[in-house]
Amino acid sequence: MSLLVFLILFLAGLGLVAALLRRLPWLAGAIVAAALGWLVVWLWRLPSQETADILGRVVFLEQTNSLLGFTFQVTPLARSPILLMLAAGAIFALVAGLLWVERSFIPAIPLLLATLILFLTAQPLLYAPFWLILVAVIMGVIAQGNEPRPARAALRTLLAPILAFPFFLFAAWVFSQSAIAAEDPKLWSSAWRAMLAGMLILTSPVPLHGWIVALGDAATPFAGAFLVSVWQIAIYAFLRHLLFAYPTITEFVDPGVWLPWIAVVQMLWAGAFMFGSQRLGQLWGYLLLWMFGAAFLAWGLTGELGSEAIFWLFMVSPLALTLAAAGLQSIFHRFGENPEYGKLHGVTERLPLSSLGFLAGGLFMLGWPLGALFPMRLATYQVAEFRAGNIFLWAMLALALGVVGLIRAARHLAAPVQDAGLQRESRLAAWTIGLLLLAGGVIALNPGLLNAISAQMLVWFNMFG
Amino acid sequence: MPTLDQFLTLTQRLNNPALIAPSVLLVAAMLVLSDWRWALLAFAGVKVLAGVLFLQLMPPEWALQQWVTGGLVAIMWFMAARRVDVIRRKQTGAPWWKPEWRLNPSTLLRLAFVILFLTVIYTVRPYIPFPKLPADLARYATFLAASGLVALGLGDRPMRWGFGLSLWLLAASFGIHALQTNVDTVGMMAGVELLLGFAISYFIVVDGARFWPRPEEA
Repeated sequence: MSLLVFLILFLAGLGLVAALLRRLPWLAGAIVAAALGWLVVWLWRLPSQETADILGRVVFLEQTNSLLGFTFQVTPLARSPILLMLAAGAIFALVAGLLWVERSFIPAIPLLLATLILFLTAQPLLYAPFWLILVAVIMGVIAQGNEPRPARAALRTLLAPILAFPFFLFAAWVFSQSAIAAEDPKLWSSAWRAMLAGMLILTSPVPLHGWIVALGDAATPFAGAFLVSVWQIAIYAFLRHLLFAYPTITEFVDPGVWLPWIAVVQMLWAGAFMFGSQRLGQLWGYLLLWMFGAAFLAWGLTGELGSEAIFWLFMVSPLALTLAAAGLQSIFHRFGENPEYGKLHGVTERLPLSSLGFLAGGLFMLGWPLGALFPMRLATYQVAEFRAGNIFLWAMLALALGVVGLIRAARHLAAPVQDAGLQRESRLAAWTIGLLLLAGGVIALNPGLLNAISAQMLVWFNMFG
Repeated sequence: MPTLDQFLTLTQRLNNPALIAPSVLLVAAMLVLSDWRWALLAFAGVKVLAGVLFLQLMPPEWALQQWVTGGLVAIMWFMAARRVDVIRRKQTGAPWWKPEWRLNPSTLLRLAFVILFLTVIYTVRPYIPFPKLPADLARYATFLAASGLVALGLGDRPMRWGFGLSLWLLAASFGIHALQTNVDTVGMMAGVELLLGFAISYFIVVDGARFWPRPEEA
């Protein structure tokens, strides 16, 4: 059995078990979190030899599998993003299980991770976005959840991979013709532009960012945060792999120039709409977009040297995301999905830790001190100030708009109670939020705690097979 | 009853650039019509005509896979939309045969937008020079891609998004199959279409269920 087959079977089985236990979400969440956590540790400790023993079976670590013309292999390069996504899945499953989210969410986590693993291990590289369409379909199902609700988020999730796929197919065909560069230079450069267009679409630039905002508006907070988080890890790994596999693309356009601009436009757009938000879900959607842009800004500005820091960022961001999502989930329980600001009364009084969780989580996502993301955001702003003054100024404006947007939300959350029967938050939710705050604070004060892990991930990530 | 060979010969005789005109009208109907049954019929018509037009690029047995995938997708969407519709009509007491043509501002706006779009297409004649694709088909593929993007902008209902993404994939199929017609590529494009079909049919049900007066009874 190959490592890939083991991972897929394990995750599919885990999803099935979680689906059977879906009416006991705390148990399903605990089982999924424990199993994914074990998988992360096991993968991390995998020996460098050719085989490993698991449950009495021999797993061949370098064995390849073929399906539908694709070759799949869990290379060291794929191992790092897989580890990050499994760890994010474990954190989300645990926190979501404690807070009684929709019962379809936890069983879907392993299934989505399985399809993401297929995408990250597929070769030829330019055909791999086919699997990204399967990923997007499952993401759409998770976004939709098991409640009748507008399908806006789910539909928009399908957009980027389906729009981008033909561009990669066209580029793959041209690159497979060995003599075409000399025979038809125009077609040759068109193929590079097509590949670039595909890459740009996958980064969800404005105005193709709508799926992220719709996730905030029309999906549960945990679903939105998880989907944006794993999508960004997968796209980062795929784009970086493409840039290394096809370095000629830098002759057409320099990613070090376009990536920061795409990112800062996303952040500005998000900041402006956070500032003008009228609903809590809307604010959450733009907050996710802001964070999405900030991660690409960190990558674009720091280039390859920043990869270790990017891994650190991806490792830590689930903490800030789950903190804000937990607070928001608790508020949604009392006020319904995506409530208008005007209908929020007595939130800080009756749901103090949930309000704190959402607001602090939001501020931490923007890079506020004492949050887990503070060191990385500070480093990004410093690099921006040093290397690109324009981008630094725009990023500061986006940050200011985002902060004001959260302050506006805080003002509405602090409105006095109108309904005397409004229930207080559950003790479990309060404890969960408290522990997440503590965990984020510990990492903010000791950012070096995770350095060894991110350094090892970078070593794997730079091993091209 | 014609044999398969006779049928394929007949379809090759139908292959004619003149098919592009009815296809354009059917695409316009897909974008405008508010009754899902008529819109779905127009979608099926577009797929049938596209299958015939593909005969210029590939052998008939592969070209007609557009009919197979298009047919499967149309059936999935029909069953999903029908389920939503039947339960809603049962709960509201509306008879099954009563058509639902809504000439509301939204439909009128769509109509105006599509007329404007067709006028622009007719006057500007946008054309992406897809390599190895005959000029008439390249112009048709450009129209399909633009129509797909327009459909995506016409609202957030699942079937309309399904039409939009399906038109985009159809346009891409013309561009890709002009370059390569091996079984992997044909299968991959059909696979994407079917995946999209599955996803949209699920979304049709879960999105439509919110319009049932009593969703808990379904």
